[in-house]
Amino acid sequence: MRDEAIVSGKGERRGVRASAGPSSALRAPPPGGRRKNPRVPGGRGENPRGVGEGIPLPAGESAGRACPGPDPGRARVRPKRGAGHRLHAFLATLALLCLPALHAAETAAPPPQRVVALGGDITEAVYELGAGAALVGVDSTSQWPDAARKLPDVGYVRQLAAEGVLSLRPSLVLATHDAGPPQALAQLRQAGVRIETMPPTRAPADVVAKLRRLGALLGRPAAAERLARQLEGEYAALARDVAAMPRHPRVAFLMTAGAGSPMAAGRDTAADAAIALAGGVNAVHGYAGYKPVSAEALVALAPDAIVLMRERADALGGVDGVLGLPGVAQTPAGRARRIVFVDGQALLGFGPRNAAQERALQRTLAAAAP
Amino acid sequence: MNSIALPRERTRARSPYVLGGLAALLLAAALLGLGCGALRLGAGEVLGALGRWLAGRPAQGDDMVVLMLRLPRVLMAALVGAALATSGAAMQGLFRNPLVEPGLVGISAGAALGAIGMIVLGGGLLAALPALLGSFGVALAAFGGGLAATLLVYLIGRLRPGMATLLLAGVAVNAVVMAGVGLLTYLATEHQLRDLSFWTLGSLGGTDWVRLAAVAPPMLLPVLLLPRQARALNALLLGEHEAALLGFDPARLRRRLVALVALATGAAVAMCGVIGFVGLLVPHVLRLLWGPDHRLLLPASALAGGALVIAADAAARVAVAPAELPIGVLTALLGGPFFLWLLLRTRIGEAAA
Repeated sequence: MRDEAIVSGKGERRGVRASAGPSSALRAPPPGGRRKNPRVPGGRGENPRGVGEGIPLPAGESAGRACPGPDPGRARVRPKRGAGHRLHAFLATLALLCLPALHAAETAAPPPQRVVALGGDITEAVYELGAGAALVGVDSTSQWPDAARKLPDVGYVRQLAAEGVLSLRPSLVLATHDAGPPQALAQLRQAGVRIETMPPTRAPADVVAKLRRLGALLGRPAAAERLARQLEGEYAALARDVAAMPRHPRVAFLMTAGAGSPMAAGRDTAADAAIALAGGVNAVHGYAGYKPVSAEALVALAPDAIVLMRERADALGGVDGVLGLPGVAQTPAGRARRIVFVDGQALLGFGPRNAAQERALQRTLAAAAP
Repeated sequence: MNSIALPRERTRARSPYVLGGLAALLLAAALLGLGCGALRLGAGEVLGALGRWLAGRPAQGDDMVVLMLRLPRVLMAALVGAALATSGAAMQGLFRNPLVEPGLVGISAGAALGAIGMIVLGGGLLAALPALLGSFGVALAAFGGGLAATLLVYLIGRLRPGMATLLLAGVAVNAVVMAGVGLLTYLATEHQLRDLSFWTLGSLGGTDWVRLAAVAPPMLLPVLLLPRQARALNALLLGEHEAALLGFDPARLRRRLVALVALATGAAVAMCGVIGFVGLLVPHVLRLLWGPDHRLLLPASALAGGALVIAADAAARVAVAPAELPIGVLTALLGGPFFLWLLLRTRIGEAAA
């Protein structure tokens, strides 16, 4: 958990380097060498966090990314040599930078034929990028869209079986950062399967960077760019709305409720990041992770709103069921009936559907502020 | 106290046939294990892969799946099954109680505490290691935890003579250790909880040649050495006092057995998590079939245990392919009803006779 935030800079740096690719590629091989299979280790990065969590990308940076860069390893395939190559290279670079469409058409790799997506957010992105037809398998956390549920399921993402994934004959495996166990991934690599691991994302910039990287890997940079810009716009609007909130209500996110004490999200959780992004303040700051809280503790937390996963709404008996849980009625949230159900995977997965969910939650919280 | 019947002489004569039959069963299970999996491979491909490997010819096609994924896994399953079942037979003999399993002297609980401690608290330590070494860290912690808990049980049990103290010490240490597991469960994050719950269900997933080589010695050694204690265990069936009169030192036997069982079970649990029921079921079934003579029971348990775990693992790999079921679920699911059927059949037969 702790190092997830640190690694977030990595994906961003890759995105920037990719767009700088063409110029350096035409002159000399990029310093990174061949990076066809960059292995992003589970959760350790040497780079500090990228700029501006919770704030839309600065204009300069967005412009720099306007041209989706090819994979640096691929761009080197056609090095131009000969007299005046520097000028040529310069002109070519200019042309490439200014004609993203042409550029993409020229260098886009043939899209991978058989893709296995491991992680709900990754599957969402693959479908949103229009590459759903290439999917041949998903993990058990991939519940959206419905089409994903019809695909072969390789099981829980942290308990993968090498042979199970191999049996789908994937040409590319797109994995969330905590896919594992490590020995199963090592066995897959040994079998020659290309695995691309995405860094953990909990900030808008990282969500967008992840999308661009997936677009490049799936051979759909143009679609990724469209979606990325749309999401950047949504996150920018969200940031404006949050800044305009007169007060940031206290929010308790209950992961489970009903049987025993409810499990509330503390610091360093996806729910904590999602609340902050939507302009709320996590009422729980005494502990990290998800822990059971007693009815008394819930009253003491005094949340202005209680957020739960919509997936559990029916089992809980809707808003009235939640109000009937011990302690809830005595909180400000309970007195004002501010029980909010959110789509858990869409919000907490920090995939392409996160922005819309965050905005919806922000509107609810803004309306809730007394 | 003594609820295991004494051996009869006729078991001796047929033991070569029984062991031969069980060895054939183990071999059949191994072939089944090599032939089953998420990837559909014909028998020809599997045998071809083995043949090319044995002949030293280069691998082709899907040989890698058979040689790098299935073969080490089948061997690991055989070893784990043999280690658990032989340990179970030895423990049941030592306590003269057919309901005892290796976990009673604290091995499983101690290993669980070690593994869970490493999963929950060792995050910083594991992060400093490469990911592959990190997964060995959990196994090492589990192995250490299992041995430590067993040593504690043994030392407490030695304070007073007799097996009862050892048994009660095991119960008490188990309770304390499980409280520690509960505390760590409370401290665990969502992901750690998932890792934890899967660990307690057991899995042979992720077995490769390196892991197999790492745990083979501590499992193989007890499986080979435990049958040497068969005569002493047989004498113990008469009672501790009688065994001592026959020239077997119960205290020394206890020390040896607990050490060997801790080594075997600790290694098995450390690498593959808790695979329940094998240590309890296999020796019990064999005893119902062929009597309690440990000279036959111990090697037979090794062979049958290996076959059972190979078969259960094959089923675990195929049942929900391309995903995998935790093997502990299957051993209990398949073993429980079979055990009950056998038990009822024998008891009803006895009542009718």
